Amino acid sequence: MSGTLSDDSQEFLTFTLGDEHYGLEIMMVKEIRGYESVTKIANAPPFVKGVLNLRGDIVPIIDLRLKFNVGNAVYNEFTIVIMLSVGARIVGIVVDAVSDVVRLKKDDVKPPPEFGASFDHQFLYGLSQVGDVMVILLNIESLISSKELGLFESADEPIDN
Amino acid sequence: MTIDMSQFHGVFLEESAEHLDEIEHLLMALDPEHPEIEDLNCIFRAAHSIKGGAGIFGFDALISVTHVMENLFDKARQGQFNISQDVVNELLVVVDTLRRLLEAYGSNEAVDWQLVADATAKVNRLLQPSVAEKADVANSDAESGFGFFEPLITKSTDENDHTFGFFEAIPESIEDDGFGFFEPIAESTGALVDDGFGFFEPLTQPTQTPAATVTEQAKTPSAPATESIAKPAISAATQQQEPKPAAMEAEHKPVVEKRKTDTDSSSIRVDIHKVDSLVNLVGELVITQSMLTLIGEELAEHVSERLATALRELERNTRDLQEGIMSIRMLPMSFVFNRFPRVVRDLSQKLNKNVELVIEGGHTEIDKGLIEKLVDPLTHLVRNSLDHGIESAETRRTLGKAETGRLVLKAEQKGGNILISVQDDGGGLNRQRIIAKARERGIEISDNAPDGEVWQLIMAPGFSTAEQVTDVSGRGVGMDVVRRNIESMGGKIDITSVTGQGSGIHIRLPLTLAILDGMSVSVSTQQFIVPLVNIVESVQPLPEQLMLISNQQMLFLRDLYWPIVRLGELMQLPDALTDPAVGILVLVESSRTRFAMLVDDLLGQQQVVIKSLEQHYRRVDGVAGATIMGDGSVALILDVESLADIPATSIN
Repeated sequence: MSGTLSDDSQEFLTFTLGDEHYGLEIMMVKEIRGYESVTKIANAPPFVKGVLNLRGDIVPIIDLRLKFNVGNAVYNEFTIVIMLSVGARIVGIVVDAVSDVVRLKKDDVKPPPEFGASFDHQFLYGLSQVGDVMVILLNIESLISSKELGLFESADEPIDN
Repeated sequence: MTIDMSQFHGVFLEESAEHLDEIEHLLMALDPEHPEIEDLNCIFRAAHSIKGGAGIFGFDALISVTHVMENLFDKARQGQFNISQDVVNELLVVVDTLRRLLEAYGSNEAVDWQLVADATAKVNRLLQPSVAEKADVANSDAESGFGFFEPLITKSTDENDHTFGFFEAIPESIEDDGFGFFEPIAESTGALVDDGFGFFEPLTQPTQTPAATVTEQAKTPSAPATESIAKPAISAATQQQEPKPAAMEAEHKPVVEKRKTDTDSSSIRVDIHKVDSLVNLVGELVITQSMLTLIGEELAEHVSERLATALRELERNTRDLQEGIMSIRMLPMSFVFNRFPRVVRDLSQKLNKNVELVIEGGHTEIDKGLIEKLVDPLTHLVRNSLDHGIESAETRRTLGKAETGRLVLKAEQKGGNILISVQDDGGGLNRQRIIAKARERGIEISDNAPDGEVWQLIMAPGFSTAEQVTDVSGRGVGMDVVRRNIESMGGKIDITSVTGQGSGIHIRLPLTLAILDGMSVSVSTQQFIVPLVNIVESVQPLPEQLMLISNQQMLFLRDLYWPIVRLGELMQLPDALTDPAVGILVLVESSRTRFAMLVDDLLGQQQVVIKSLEQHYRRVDGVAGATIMGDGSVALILDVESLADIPATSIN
């Protein structure tokens, strides 16, 4: 970790899903808060837990553990929701814990290997060794706005009328 | 340093649009015979402002059109140019052109220069003859009255002069009116109108319709030789004062002042998003405050009492604050109503009907969001009234009614609602025809159904009586669309009609789009809000009222079958009740459908603030939006119309 501010370094927020360590660009993070019960939405995929009220905004909550199929999707007082600003939208993601903020240089980030079909690598920014753990850096913006998540567009669904 | 001018475009375009509205408004109100000098000044200034702004941004098309317009009004206010009804007509078309140009600049489209050239040429054409005439008049200034009438005499013989003669004709008729002396002549010559036309064909403009304005012009040609001798003598005296007709009129018309005070209030321009975020925040404040109240109740007695007092104070203040902020979004209904004088004027000319438009309650305030959505439905209703409602002058005369039809646009506030009505004094709805049409379309209706029920039929989908389709209405936007638009705003439509006396459409809307009257219902652990407008009633069904018809559970209530829809099933809530006999059936109705919705319990009626679900998520079938309940949790607001679509796909 370099202490100097240089153009090619970025800060990442790291968090855990089950035993795995993930990171996302810190500029996307709006706030971090505990998990509260949500209002369910019909016909939503299982990883969309529902919506909650974030100071007057109705914000969808995604459980990344369900989406990535890691860990157990349990909800207790330690469960964390990271609120992200993606463009003009706000989306919350449920994670097991938030670990740290790390500054990584471009050189520290290794391109992701092919994960196979189960994990689309377009949502990955890269991998990086932080201390003794391997952190999977997410391209959270493309994940949140992806068609696969179906959060914003209803284009992939037939509109019945 | 370069400044990015494009950042100011929006403001300029918006201001210009307002200036155009003002010009249009003033033009419409302008009495061609006695133009208020102050009105002319206002129009001049508005045109000048647009021109100035357009100059800064290099919007050349706007400059050239506003420039000639400015010239015209400059002349007009100096009394060198007389504005006639036809000039007003032409200028209104030019205003439309300017609007189109503004739109083109606003959306970065290419400017239609042909349009610009046409408009400029049009104004110049209007202006030119008067300039030429002015030269004439100037020569014989002392006897201006006579100089004035000279062309009138020549025009019947001299073909070249015809536009010339046209403009002459108007000032004449202006003088005419000033003198009660000539009134009887005008009346008696009414029958001669046609002759006059035949004779003076080349002199009059082809756009004329035999409406009230025309009889005015016909007066002049139809009162020729004999009168023209007497006239100059009398009018010569007044002709001298002619450049300042306003001065004369000031005494006659103190009424005009009224309108000015409305527009003179000072205001600031604020981005609507800023207001919306304030509305949002204050909504949160109210919720936080109610949470505090709940916590306060748990405290020890002596503390709790003091806290409670403080909290009550806070509650009052937040409520006032909320009301104040909500009112920022409110605009007077005149924003919608003001466009109708033009619509009515254009249409009545086109349809050859005499219609007087009366606007009442223009100051009634309504949410800005609703204002925009009201324009289309109201335009449709006004068009309908003009086209089908109000009869032609001849028919009205034979029926013994006043020849001029009356169309009343009215808005008033009643409690938390606003009532808007469009009332005409035409023929009313034809009960027999509607019933016949409904039967043709397979809608069952008994012969002695109450009137209200029959009138509602015209808003059934696809209920457009083919023989009624004209150029004016019947263009595809049917009454069902009007109804759907109004319902989407949480409103309701009532129709009243008396044969031979006219019909009225009454729209009841909530004061603001952001607030909805709803019934809160619970299903499993969740709460939903059902818009109150959709609810017919709620029942706890008796077993014998429930039946199964082709695998669809039905409620049979008062001779009607209501298909039962389980809300828990639609919303995929596993623990919801499934037996209608145990839960509660909420009977709901929309413009397209009605059904009975099974819920676990009714929680109570309340006003909720509507929040968009699509802002951060996407559209969800059967859900119109969401709201935040008193405890901070989110409840979904149901959209009855689209809910009905879900069972159609999941059950069949």
